[in-house]
Amino acid sequence: MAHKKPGGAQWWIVAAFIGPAMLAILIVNVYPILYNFYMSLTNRNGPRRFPEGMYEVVGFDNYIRLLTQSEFYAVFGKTVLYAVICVFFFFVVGLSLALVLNHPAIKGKYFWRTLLILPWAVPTWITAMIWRFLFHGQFGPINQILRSLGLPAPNWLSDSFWAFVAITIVNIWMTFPFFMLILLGGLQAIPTDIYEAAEMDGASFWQGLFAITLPLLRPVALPAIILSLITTFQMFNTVWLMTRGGPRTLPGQPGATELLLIWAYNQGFAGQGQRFALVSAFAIVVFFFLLGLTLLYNRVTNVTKGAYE
Amino acid sequence: MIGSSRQTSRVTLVLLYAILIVAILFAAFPIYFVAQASLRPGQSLYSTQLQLLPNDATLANYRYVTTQLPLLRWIGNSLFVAGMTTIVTLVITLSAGYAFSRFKFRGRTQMLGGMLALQAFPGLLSLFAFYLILLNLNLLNNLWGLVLIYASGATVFNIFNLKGYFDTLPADLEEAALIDGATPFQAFFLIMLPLARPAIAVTALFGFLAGFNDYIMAQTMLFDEQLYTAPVGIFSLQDGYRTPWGWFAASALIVSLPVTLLFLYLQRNLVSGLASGAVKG
Repeated sequence: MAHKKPGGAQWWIVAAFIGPAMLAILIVNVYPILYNFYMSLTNRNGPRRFPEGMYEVVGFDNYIRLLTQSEFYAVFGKTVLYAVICVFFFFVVGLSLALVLNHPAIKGKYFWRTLLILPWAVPTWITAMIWRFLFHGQFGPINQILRSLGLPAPNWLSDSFWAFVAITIVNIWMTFPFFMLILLGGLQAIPTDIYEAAEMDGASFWQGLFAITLPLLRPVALPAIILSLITTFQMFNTVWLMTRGGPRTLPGQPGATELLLIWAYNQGFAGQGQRFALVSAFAIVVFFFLLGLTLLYNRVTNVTKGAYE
Repeated sequence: MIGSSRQTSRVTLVLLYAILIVAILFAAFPIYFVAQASLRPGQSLYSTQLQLLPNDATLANYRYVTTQLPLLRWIGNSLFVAGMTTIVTLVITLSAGYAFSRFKFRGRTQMLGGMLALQAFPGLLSLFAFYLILLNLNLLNNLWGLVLIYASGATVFNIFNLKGYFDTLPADLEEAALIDGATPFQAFFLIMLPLARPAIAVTALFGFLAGFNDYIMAQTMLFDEQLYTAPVGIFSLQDGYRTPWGWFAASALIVSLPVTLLFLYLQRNLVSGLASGAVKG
């Protein structure tokens, strides 16, 4: 825990230390939220009402419209599903590799680890660019391999189901190294004599995993899981650059990979809709949802605090 | 069996290496593929046959993107934005993280709670508000405008991560310095900053990546081709349905190389600088 002995600092010293950051937060965090809230109460929807002076405050119409629209729930549900599937695989892949890298019999750990964290280092927009080519239906190497093995080669990014699988694979590719590193750090902190004792009692690998490893990894794993649920829920960059939210099979319906923020962007900013007030209301609703997750995160980290100190 | 130092059976060993090799194929194949694709001449990528080694390797794509396109200029813009974002991030968050860790002042707890709440707002949806801010500050179509947004955008996360790290450092050293008559500023700059090196490295890296990875903000705020950052410039090369893969691949490699090296260089710090801060919140 913090040592607050030098505390009780004079106000101007505190102001000098935190002032610049607070100013930045006011401009870039507080103002946009207030602005969004104000916009959410107006009728600034559609190109005609977009210019200044053409819209007026109408109250909570946008919220009612948003929360009674089935489109919103479909997109929300799909995004939750995406986040849960992704984080499950982050954890499973990250844990398996952390266990392998932590095994005493493995030689050249540093080399393997370096190779494995490469995907994390690639800028996200380059990731999108690379995988769009890898998934290319005709010329992409994934389909070339599938065809040469005599397997069916789906038209990945143009097919609703396979496009969703594709954006899941890409996210696993770019995020598993983070989980691997965090969990490896957690594994290294577990004293090995616990396992030796368990082994003498004849415990199997799986018994050891569920009775010792997972419970002891909890303080490290849980915050990482909640944090990445929050960031996956807000996925935009990579998926937007790969699919723009498509493919769209039915006109007027959200696309197969149109996750929450992509949907909001397409509705509000991407030209066709400019349903700006509606998207502002959406932003406030999502804000409260993510706030709930954040509070959960905070409680979890507070509960687990101290476990490794 | 998981962590013991006793003899490992041959089956286990084969299994461990098998997992490792599959994982490395998954992690590295896309990168290898781009590297070899960048060496292929124009149309040879448009083939339905898998070809893993370019039999007609050429540097034509590299020559084209560096001489016929303003790629180097775009990368320069990206590096400028990312570098400045790093500096501004460090300047504003290091001192704040330290203050929240060490000073006791009225409203401290409330401010920490408030910042955590603010962070839950999805930044992408501030796009239009950012646009208005930059419009009013006369920073639209200006690289400094992007620096302002990127540096401020990650402020809350960085403050928490740094505060968490400072919390783990013992207070004895500063206390001794303060008793000896050092000012809080001296204690911070001369004693605490050198100790916080891993956390500083992580904060710097995150600041850099915030500036280097973004596409949509830069795409919205920059109109002048000369000012494009690398992603905006490179993605502007697509026209309609045609994507120039060879140029994309060469550009991707040129752009990724410095970032990847930086990342690998800092990887040791990533674990210690991030885990302690993030986990202890």
